[in-house]
Amino acid sequence: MGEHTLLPASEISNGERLLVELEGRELGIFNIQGKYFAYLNWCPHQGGPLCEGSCTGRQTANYDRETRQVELEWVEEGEILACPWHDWEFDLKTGENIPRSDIQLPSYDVEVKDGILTVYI
Amino acid sequence: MLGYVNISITRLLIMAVTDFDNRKGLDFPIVDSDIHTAYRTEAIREKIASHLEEPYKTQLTRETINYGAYPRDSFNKEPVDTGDDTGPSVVRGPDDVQESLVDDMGIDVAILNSLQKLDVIPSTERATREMRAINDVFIEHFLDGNKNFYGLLMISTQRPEAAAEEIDRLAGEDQIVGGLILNGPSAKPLGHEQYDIIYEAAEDNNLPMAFHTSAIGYALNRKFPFLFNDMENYAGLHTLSHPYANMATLTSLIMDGTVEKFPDLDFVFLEQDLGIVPLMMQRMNREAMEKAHDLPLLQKSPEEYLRERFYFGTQPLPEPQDIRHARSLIDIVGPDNLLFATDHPHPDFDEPEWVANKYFGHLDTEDQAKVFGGNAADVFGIDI
Repeated sequence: MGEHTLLPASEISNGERLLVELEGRELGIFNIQGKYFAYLNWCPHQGGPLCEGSCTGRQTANYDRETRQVELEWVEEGEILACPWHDWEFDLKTGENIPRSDIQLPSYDVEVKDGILTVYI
Repeated sequence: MLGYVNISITRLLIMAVTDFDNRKGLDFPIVDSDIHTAYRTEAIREKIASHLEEPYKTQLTRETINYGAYPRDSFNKEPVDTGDDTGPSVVRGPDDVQESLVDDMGIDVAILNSLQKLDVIPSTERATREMRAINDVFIEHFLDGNKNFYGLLMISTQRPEAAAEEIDRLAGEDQIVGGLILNGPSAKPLGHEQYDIIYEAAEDNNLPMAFHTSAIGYALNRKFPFLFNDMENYAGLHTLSHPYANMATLTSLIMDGTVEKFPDLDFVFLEQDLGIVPLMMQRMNREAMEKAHDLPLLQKSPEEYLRERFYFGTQPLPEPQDIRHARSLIDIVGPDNLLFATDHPHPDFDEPEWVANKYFGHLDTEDQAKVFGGNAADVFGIDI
């Protein structure tokens, strides 16, 4: 268990990711709007390779009772990770499953120390 | 199993030889959530016609081979037993309910419905007018003045604005405790946005919306699948008709977002078969996780919506050969969501004392009281 220095943070720019194995664990490290997030490459659904999935956005919906219309908006483009096995979706900024916020991905602390991406297991 | 069989035979003998008090052991109020009043009898048709203008009056009362309003299938539905019935086989008036259900079966509170096939009438205008006339007769003839009788308003979905107006018109009647849609024959699945105005009226008026289909065989909507005379016999049709239509409605209300648009609205299903509940709950849970992108309105899991806002009539209780499987089903759906119902006067009715022991005997008294009356009191807002 410990600190792992990986590579210059500048090599993983916004929207990019790094898949890495550390201490026997596969991790995905994502750059979302300049901040780094690290998650276990293991979907809580059935153990699929979550961090290899596509990044996308999501739709918000609000029903306006006055107009009887559903207002839809596409948000968080690139911030939602969809697992390649069954499309379970997670917010990369929080690790929370989109429909079930009580399901959260195991995550790891990531820092940029002197310009180097550093992960703590 | 052997013990159960012995006890049943003993009970039959006791019933046969003693003056059996059929409320013994059920020491709480019983609410029957599904009672069908008759609308094809001449007397009732005349009453409805008296509320209609021509030509609708004559369309309803002219004698035709099959009444005229609703297409009849040609299945043989005649029972094998041709002997004298022990009670009225149709509910022509409140006295019939009093005699069969209250006096004979020990029901304390009756929730009646008219269950007219309004969405099957090709003429939208006729369906709309008959809806109003039927509800007026229902209140006057079956409800007024009968303490402990309540009723569900019959709602046609053919003209949603008219349905909403009808709810607004009659929701204030003391004995009206909900709206009822005969699901299956509507133009679209019932969670479609064109029906939002109906749910809005129900929610605004604090009435739950109930659904009860028919064995006529409209399952999803008027177009598909249309089981009307594709099975070889009525047994086959009836097996599918209720589950199909109710699975479609249940799915649409949740997956099409109605549950979120109207967060204070409760939903009641009647005669749907409890067996569909675990299937729908568990399958929709999976779908909601794997297709979240299809469901932007949903804030909870389908199971959470079902458990918080949906109530299911118990009739007809299914019959696995091992009674423990039936009791497991009751446990999965849970005593908080069940509404006891007889389905009187239909032939596949459930007798309260018998089913209380067979299906609910493993529950504690508090949970039995919920199933037999407490949940109905909650969802329909009545004192029992």
